[in-house]
Amino acid sequence: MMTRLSRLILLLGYWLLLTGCGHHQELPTAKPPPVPQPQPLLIPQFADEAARAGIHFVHHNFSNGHFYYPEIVGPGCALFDYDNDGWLDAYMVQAGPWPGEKGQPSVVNTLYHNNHDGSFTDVTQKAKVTGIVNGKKTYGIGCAVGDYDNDGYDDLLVTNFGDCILYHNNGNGTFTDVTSKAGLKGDGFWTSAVFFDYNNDGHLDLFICRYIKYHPGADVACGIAGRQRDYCPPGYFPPTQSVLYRNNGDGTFTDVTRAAGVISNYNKALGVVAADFDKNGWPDLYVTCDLTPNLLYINQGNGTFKEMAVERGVAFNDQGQPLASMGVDARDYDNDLRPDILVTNYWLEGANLYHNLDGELFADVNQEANLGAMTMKKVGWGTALRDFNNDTLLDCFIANGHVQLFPAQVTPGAEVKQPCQLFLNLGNGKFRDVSAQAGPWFHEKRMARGAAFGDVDNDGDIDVLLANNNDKPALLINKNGNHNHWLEAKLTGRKSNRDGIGAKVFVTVNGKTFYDEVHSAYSFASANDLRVHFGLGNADYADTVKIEWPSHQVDILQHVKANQILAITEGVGIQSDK
Amino acid sequence: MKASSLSPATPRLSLLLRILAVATLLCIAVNLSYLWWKHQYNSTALDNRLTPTLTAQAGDSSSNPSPAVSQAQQQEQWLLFHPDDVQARLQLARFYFLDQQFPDAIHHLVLAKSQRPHDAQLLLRLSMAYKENDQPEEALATIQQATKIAPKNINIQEWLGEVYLAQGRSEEALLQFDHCLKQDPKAYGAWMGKGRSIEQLYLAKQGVATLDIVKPVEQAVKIQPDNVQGLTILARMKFSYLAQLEESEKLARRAQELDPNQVEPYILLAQIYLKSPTPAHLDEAESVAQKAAQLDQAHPGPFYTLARVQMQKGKIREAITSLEQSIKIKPLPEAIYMLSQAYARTGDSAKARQYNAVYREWNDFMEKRKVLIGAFQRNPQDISVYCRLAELYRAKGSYEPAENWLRKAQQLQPHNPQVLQLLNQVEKQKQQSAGRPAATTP
Repeated sequence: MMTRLSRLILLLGYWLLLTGCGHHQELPTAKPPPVPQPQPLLIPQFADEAARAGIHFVHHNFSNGHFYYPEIVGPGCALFDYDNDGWLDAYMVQAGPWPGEKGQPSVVNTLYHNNHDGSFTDVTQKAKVTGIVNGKKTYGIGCAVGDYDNDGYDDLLVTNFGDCILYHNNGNGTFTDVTSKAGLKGDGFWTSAVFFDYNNDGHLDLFICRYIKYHPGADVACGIAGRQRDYCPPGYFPPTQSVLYRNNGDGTFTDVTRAAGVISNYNKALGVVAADFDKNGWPDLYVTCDLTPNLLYINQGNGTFKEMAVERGVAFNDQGQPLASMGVDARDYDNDLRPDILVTNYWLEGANLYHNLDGELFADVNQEANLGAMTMKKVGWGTALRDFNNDTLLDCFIANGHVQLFPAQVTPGAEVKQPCQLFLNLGNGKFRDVSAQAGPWFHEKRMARGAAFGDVDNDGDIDVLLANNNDKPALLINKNGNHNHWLEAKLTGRKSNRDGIGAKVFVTVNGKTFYDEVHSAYSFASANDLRVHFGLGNADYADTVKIEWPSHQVDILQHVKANQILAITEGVGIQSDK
Repeated sequence: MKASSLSPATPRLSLLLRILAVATLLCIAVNLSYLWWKHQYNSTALDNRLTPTLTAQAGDSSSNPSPAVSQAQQQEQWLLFHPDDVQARLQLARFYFLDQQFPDAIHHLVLAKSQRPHDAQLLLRLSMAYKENDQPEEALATIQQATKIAPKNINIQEWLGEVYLAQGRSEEALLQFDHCLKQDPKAYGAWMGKGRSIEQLYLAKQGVATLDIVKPVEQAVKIQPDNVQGLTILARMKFSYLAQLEESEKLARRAQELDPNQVEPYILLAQIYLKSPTPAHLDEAESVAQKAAQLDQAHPGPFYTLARVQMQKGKIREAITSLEQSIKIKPLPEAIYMLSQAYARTGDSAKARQYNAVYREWNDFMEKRKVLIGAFQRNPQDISVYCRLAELYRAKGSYEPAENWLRKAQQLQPHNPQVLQLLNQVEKQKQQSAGRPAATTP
């Protein structure tokens, strides 16, 4: 594990030239790029170290025999650096007792501080992020992270069945519930959320997915006659409207859903990711929906969006039918410098991989990529396209778990608990399922839901925090992804939002360029490492690292040595990597 | 709340399965149903009294009438002078039925019925003709008459189940097929009907396990292992509900070998290969889809399936041709969507937008309808839902279903002013639109 000091020393050895408004100056490379050598496929090995790390959280869904729908939807989790010590901390979202319930275990959302040595300490009570409001534990579903007030400390939104909670990070290890003060109001069945700067004004706005209209009192009984009762499918509940909040820049938000045209008349939103799909400099939104068409809100650059999922080929499967979509990520899996979209779906649907053809149109290539067939007999939730073996190709992780307690009575062979899956990108448009070789954890079965991705131990490879329904979480530490070289960068905006969310990062290695955007909200109901991460294969350094900030500032670094975590400030360059 | 018998339940799975089972493969089921009953029609006892001299030449559009058509014309002439020759009339009706000229078949069967009102077999045929002619109520009334006359006749009992199925009365159909199986545990049609009834319940979100759909069809195939229709339906169900690709392929291959001229096994095989699209599978899929399109140029399904394969193979121009052919026959929504995608991939954004707009409109309608139907199911007493459904249809220019929803509302609240006002408006618009082509409603 690299210490901060050693990274700082490494950083000091390199140049950074910066200019504003797209003008930039470049340094010549010091030596010719090495000839790339073909490498055997490196299969990352993961081990669950949650217990060893002191993460003793257990999720309770508070099921009580009434089969209340929210019981099967969460939880999410977060990997974020709340105290700016350069190490990812972990946040686990907890459910809560149903109205009128008594004698439930006293459980809360839990924040774990990363001790930098592989262990974590529960700091929930000090941090005051329990999810308790007015003395009552809210029913938590997921979370999102973003520094909405640009004070340098990431804030935390918790989505609930009920009202959401916005926790302001006070910068001293504590948080304050500012939900009302910030103007976030509205009851609902909230799921995933994303902080993003849709109007590029330097202040993070907020989109929150609202799933269905649901009231526990009006629950209906579902199940097969003469067999076990089970949870109802979503078709039993009406859709509802998600919400877009504009950040007013003064600590408050305004609901601009209608004004911005983020209307969904019949959609049941579960997952969301923001990315600039058409690369016009304005972040778009992609929303996964349950048994209703997925949504693609294309940012018009004037404060409004136009819903174009059907037109661009990302609303349905290849036959024009909506699927039960849950998790989502948007990244460039084929290194053509355009963000593609990965969507996880229900049993027998298989995942969608929408290949971004030209920024305007997508083609679902799940079958060509082998992902459709390999995910067919799973119910997929949290997911990511990340380079788990640092070979420069984005791989795919999917957290699985059924939503019915007795799925086999409906579909033979269906299991309520399912193993996670890891697919390695072969570089030819296809993926290979290496779950069975990626460590014993992948033989374990859970009702997995949210998954947060990031470099928990700062060793240069992507780890996974997995939130399981009614179960313990898993902290999957990647043991050997860093056998290849890598580069990470924490961006800090000045004109742009402080987190640099939406910034585009281009890393060129051996003449080939790789691309990613800074975003925390992807997967399902979870918040992820805000640092960008690139696998460099066997390259010792990157030829260039270029950052296009939301403010249109462009910064370029040249000849950047591999295996370090950069701290880059907009218009300033490499900073101390605190 | 306790789960009632066959209570509402089924997972989200239903959508995909509806996609597979209904959107694309419904044509197979419908076709197979007709084929099965065509077979039944041919083999009923009534025919034993006749020498089957007339053979339908469906699809023959040549200007020179076939021998069978000439014979039918002669038979028509004969009946003009011998209107009481019931046997000749029945023979002619059978010809028309097999040639899918159902109104003509009904005409002659009704005339025959006036002479033989208690002939249960005749009533069975008449009911079959009514059903195929989209007259479900008449089909039901006629077969119910027949069951009273011949309560032990298994064919008649099975047909009553089929009519229930066609009306979406799945539970009654299931009971009827069970009733048949009590009479004859080896009744192939009853086992098939039972499987399809359970399938219908499943698709209607009733609490049904997918294995329960497949089991009766497996039983039917055991009874008639060489029945092409049975094999194909079993293959489809195993593919759609159990994702048993290899087993489905085997069954479909066997059906195709037994009757290489049946189109459905080819379509199914293409769909199976598309699920695991290796280059070899894609070649296979293309081959069988092309065969299906050659065999049946009157249905959109084969061309759509061929287009799916061509899209997968990157043959976008060829896919466009196949899709346009499919849409020309009948505009399947999925074909329209795929065509928009195909045009977009060729860079023809104008056509892509055009088809996209059609699909979006259709999809918007369906999604809104789905929401309202859900609201209706949750609270059938909510008059506002009836009105919103009526408005939805009215906005599409579909006045008939709009009126139907308002009539239902009126039954609940005869004096509701909103309902009466809307009804008045819809009736007027319906009258004004009379004579104009009816709006296409999904």
